[in-house]
Amino acid sequence: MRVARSSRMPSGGAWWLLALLPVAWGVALSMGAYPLSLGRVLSVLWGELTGLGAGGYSDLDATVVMDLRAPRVLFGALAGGGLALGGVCMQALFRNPLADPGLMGLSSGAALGAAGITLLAPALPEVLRHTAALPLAAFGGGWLVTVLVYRVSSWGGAVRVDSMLLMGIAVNALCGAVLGILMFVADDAQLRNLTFWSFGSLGRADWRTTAVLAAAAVPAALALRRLAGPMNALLMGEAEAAALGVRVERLKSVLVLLTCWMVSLVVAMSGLIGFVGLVIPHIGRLMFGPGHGRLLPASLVLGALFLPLVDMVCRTVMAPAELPIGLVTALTGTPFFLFLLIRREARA
Amino acid sequence: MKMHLVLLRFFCFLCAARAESVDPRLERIVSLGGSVTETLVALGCYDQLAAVDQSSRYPEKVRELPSVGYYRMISAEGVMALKPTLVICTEDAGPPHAMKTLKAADIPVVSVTAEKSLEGAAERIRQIGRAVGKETEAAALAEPLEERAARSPDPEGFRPRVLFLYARGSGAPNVSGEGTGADRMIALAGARNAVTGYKGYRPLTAEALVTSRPEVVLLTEDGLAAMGGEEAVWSLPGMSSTPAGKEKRLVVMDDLLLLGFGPRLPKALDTLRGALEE
Repeated sequence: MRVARSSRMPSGGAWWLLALLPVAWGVALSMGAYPLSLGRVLSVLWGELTGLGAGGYSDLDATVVMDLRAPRVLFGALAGGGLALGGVCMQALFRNPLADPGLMGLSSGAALGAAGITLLAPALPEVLRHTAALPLAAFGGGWLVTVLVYRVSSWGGAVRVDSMLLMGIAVNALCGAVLGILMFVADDAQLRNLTFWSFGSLGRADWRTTAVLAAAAVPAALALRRLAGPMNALLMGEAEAAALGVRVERLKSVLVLLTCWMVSLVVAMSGLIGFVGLVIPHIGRLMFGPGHGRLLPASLVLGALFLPLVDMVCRTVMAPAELPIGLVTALTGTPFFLFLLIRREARA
Repeated sequence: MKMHLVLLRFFCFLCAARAESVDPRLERIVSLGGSVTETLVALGCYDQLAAVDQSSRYPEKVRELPSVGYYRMISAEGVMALKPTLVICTEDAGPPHAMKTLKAADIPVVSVTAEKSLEGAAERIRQIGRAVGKETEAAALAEPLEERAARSPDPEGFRPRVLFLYARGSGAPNVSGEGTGADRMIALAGARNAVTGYKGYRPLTAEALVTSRPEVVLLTEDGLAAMGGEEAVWSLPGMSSTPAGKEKRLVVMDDLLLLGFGPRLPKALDTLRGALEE
């Protein structure tokens, strides 16, 4: 009954990770194209947040820290945490370490929504075109495809995970084909916009998007925390979990809906940021074991550490230009993941 | 018109020579767009350029300036870090939220037309001239374009069918349909685009190539390099049965000269026309 016990285990093992958050965020806040020392950043934060500061910084310093970097770091933390939790949920649901939210067609549905709206853009009113239209369409697309996959694979009442996987693969292929057609008819500028969207960027982050993401993702993450025990039981198999008193069908729907909710929002507001959902949970597992009592908070915190730091790299290496974050997550995350894997093999 | 240019160069030289007395609002200009940069340099503002974008490739010396990346995908903080006193861009610079942030941070942003035509190019030069307080110089630069726009190309003359190949990397190159920059250039040079019936760029297929019966193939220098040289162009499937393929008629022009719609537009049209008539 190792699994059952670990569900009761306190999440204390991940606490020291929390202490790293302010460090990582501080580094991410103080680095960027615009030269600012950590001291200057701190005095801006102190001055702007308390209204007491002695000054010592310009308005431009304040704009860069408060309107550009701070929301970006927080948005990155929320997005990283959300993507990582989505990955944990999918890997628990499919009982497969290779699962990620893209498997259920979420990313391709969101991409399809984004492409559709980009092509329709000239017909939209100016206000919508540059602001809400694309995130809403991407969110709708991701949500629609995931719910479709889920509904169809739960036709007879119970959700069959294997048919959900197949459906996901089929729908991914279909979305890919439709996306290809849309990209074919797109004009040059639309094609470029789509390509850049698919690379992912936290550049859209401002206080408004950060607030929306926080309002949506924090309750979802808290709700997930209470599912750690049932998720552990599910690892052993659906029949076994049911025997332990877990309401398996309900658990599966909740996992799908929570994942879809968090990840669709992130994708809608920042484009496709791959890799985080797949690998952060693995890193969490390598560090803290498979029990969800510790894996969930650890993945959340690791995601919230990882993404703002990667974004910092994107903002600085090519400054004053910026790299797309989706490319850099893979470039920086994969070697680290390989390193962890190799070290584990060497120990075994 | 040649005299015009010589005078203009001399004038630019004079402007550059008295650069110490630059208006503080124009001290650090960030230019987004190849034609914007080219115009600014032609107006004698090279020393005021703090940074340019990736598409700013002419004149050669602007390549040494810091680059803020692709002009549709700039980073607001990256631009702010350069402490610009003025940002001049074409209206398709973006992304919109970054442009909004720059304006919110009280950085003056002047957005000029992105129109790809002789009239558009002239208007762009005049707008840039107004932004940097050099209306007279800009007028001198724009006038040859306006004169040119006033006389349309001879409809009775030699009008070869030209196929523009847009190649980036290996794989099938794209061809440019109606409404593209290359399509406009071909028309302005008094030739015909071999590709009609659709807008924008499409991948080239062998049958479409044969059907379009191009008499001349047009490429940019970067495009030719990306395709891997002239031989690669002639060995494209279907090429050998086209008039252009049989006579190996290829015109290669500098990217920004051909597609930039900047102050060198008359020169670009003369070069293209000359090469087509050869």
